[in-house]
Amino acid sequence: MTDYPVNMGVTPQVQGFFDEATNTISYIVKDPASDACAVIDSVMDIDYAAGRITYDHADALIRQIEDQGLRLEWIIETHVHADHLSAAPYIQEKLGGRIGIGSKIMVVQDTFGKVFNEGTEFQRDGSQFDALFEDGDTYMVGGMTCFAMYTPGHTPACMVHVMGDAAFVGDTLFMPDGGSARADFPGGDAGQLYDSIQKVLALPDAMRLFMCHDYGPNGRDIAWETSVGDEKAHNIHVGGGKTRDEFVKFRTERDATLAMPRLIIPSLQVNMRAGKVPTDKDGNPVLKVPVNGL
Amino acid sequence: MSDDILSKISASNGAGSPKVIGFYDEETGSCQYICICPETRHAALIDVVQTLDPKSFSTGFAPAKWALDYIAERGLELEWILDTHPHADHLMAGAWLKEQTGAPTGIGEKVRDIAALWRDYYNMPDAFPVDPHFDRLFAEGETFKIGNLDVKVMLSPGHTLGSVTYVVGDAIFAHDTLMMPDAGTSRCDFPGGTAAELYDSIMRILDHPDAFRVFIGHDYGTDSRDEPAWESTVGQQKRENIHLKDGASKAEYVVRREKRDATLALPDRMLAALQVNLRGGRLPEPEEDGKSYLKIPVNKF
Repeated sequence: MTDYPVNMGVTPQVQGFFDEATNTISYIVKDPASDACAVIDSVMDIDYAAGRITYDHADALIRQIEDQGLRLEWIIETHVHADHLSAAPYIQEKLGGRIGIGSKIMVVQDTFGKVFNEGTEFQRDGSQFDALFEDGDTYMVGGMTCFAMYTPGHTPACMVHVMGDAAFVGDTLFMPDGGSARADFPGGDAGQLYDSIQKVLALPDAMRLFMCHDYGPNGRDIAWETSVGDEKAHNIHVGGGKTRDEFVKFRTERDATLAMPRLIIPSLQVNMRAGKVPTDKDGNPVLKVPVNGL
Repeated sequence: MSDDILSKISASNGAGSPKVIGFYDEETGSCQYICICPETRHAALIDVVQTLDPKSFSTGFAPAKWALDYIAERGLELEWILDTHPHADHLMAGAWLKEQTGAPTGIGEKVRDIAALWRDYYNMPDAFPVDPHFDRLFAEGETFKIGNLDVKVMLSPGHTLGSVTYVVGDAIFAHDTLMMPDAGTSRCDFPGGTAAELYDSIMRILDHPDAFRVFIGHDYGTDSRDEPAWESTVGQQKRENIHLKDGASKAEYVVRREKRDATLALPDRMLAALQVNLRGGRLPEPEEDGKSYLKIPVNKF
């Protein structure tokens, strides 16, 4: 296993922003030693029926960053989300920063370039993003060294981002009572997801873990922060030493019962372009929807 | 025949009066009809739904198959495949039904003007040449037959600018004008809709004799009524319709209607439906990969 530069001595300030429409949590992560910050997994609002895109959720993040006088250095996507649209380009336009995602985005772009029958103008080389991370790559937020861990399974391009004692797990783990992310999208794999989760659980027990999604199982309030120790002990899908085989069987059976995310078509189409909405030949924003294609 | 489709029979009231089978699409709350001439056993289908899953965009024909099974099992002869307007809440099954049966399709001629509106929304200046997609485009006042039954076409704008009402003997297929008396009337806030025109169209429908049956386009139940319903009479509508019974003037009606419409979300399937329905229920021409793609314009609504 890659030797990751874990540094539990740095404790960034983490602010979570819950999006009720998609149960996504976006984060502002501040370097404790400077005014530098990163945004993780932002959300662009869409009224799908009307085809209307707005930015209330992203504006709330932007306001916080401005009010606190922070400098945005990175806009991180843990993966190409299938359930919400990224606001990365909108935030970048307002505040600057570089948009980064895992280098395996190219696999996702290739898969969904076919699904949407994209023309040659849609590049499948990740060039829509400013940075493409490989497993173990480090980058700085102010003086804080951060790194990306390759964690495929939910998608082929998923990465967990670790900043000091805080890890942003994307769609690998959910809260201990929520379990794990589904692994049935194109390129997903339950066995890979189990292996990726083990990589997360190999981080120090005290590592804070921040979820990308929470659905408040069994009526509890929405929550998004836990720890490696808690997940190891209590996660209902992988905690208490569940074996890989047990997990794969359970995950596969459960995934077969799940409906597609409501926003899967617009999400993939926009997010594989780093959050940019495609346009027609006259420059009008337009989504292209395959009929009987998923 | 699938058992999960709710259907109800409305008997013929004698010569010149159709037997009407109403059947329901639960996903979209749509009421669809088989209108039968009891003497000749000729039938027309009205406003039949092509299903669309608004997440995966997969399509299906369960209601249309139900109707064709019904027709086949009873030895009816399908004479017409009719729609009252290009629906915004569901895809039409017309083209598929024609493929299966060879029966001609019909809709109102002002669909040409509706298509012009939507070409702009979709930024598809050459799309939706209406004429090749329908066999008949009916004008106001035009008449035709279902078996021995006389059908009169009334232009009923308001919900769309080109909706038509089919009056078949004593049965009025009023689509999205009136709803059930306890639910009121249809919305008018889609492109080309106006509340004032809807009011006038409703008044023309209510000019028919009180005993005429009114079959509507949508029902979702109400707070006090779980079971969908779709049949009423002109008299009931005049006495009981919650949007009309207090003798509201046209001006009052328009204010109320517009106020209520401002609170309604757009139907899930609208942006998909219009580009299919203006092609008579056909999906867009496949691209070179063999798949059809819909265009969803962003920030036009």
